Amino acid sequence: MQRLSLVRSACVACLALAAQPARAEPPGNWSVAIERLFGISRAWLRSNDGGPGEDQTSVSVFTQHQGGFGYSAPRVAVDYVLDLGLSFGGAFGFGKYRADYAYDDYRINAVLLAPRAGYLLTPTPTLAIWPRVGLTLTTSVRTGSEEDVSALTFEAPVVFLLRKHVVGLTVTPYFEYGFSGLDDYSPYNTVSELGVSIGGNAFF
Amino acid sequence: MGTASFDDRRWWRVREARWLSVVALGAALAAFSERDSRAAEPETSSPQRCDADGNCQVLPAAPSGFSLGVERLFGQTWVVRSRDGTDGSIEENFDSFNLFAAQTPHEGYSSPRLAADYLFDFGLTLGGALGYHGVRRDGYSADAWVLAPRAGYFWHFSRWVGLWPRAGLTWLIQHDDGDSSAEDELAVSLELPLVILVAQQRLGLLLEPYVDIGLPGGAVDLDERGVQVGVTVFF
Repeated sequence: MQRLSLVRSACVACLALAAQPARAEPPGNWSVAIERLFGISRAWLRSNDGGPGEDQTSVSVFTQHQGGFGYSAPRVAVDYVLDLGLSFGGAFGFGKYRADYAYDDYRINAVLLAPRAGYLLTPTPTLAIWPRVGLTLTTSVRTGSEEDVSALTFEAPVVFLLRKHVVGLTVTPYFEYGFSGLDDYSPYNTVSELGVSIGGNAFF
Repeated sequence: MGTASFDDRRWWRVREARWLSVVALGAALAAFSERDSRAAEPETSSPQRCDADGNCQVLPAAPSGFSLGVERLFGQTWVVRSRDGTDGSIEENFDSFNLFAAQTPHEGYSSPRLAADYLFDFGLTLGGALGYHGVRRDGYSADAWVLAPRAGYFWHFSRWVGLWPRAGLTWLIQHDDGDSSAEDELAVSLELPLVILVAQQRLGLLLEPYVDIGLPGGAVDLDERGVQVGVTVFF
């Protein structure tokens, strides 16, 4: 009898939840974001052929100035959010660097590509949770060598919307699972990263 | 490799800093007088926001109050590092170009940073950027501090476009346990961001030419110039 009333109560609760509006309207169909601006992260490089690995901890507040390995370069990202909440988008970046030392030259060309899909949940007009999954592919061609590192990316940004829903502050927990790595010296290195980063988001 | 002596180039940089300061001051004064003369003219086309009942609210003509921005996000930089060597002055050059992501190594003063400013009603702005980044690896640690106070003038010469000449200082303090090196650089920073205002003039896209002129005093002289992109929210 007691079990039956529990089941009834659960059914009533489910019906009550179903009667609520499922979600608030998405704040805009286009999202432009500045991501991985600063935060805390732990990255680890592993060699699948038994070589030594390397661990790195990075703490940044308001800026990123030091180098290091991992995927968290500050970037601009664009997503399209369908009315039902599904989103598609990604980030793209290109970098070119030349160091002209007194007795040597050093050049790097780097590309970052991070396609992704997600689902924008907006439980309240000022709060959104946006679980996403995607890939992060990076390649850098240096003087005399090339390095490619790739990861499966899981992230769940929490967006605090401000200013009539146009602009939001984003706190993003993320995990990058390194599944592929290749460079001219260590052919089986992978890089994974776990962290929380801060960024900004605007919906149009 | 440079040919001029180290002291000559330091003196030239001081002169360059003075000259650019005069130009920036002149531009700010011109902007101030222009704004003053415009203030006397009646506003004829202020943007309005109206609700369904026809109640209209005049939107502010120019941003004022606090702004929070992300600056030097990506773009082009040219960095020159000069130091005295055993065979005379040694000059090293670093060029970097980034599009949509800052992926390449950082040289000089520029790194993506959070900045906050207060904009007074008459256009004067006061603010700056502060940042810290520390990296720890096995047997290695490195820290960097960036502090960049500044003052400027927001010249809102069109409803959607403004110029924001700014002058200030940039301190860059780096410490590296790996090779026990430390670097402490101070520069005069002159910036002239072009601000494109969107989203009800609350969001500004910045296209920012700048120079960071290293001040003499350290073992190394570090100068930088470039054009970077940023974004600012006006509250």
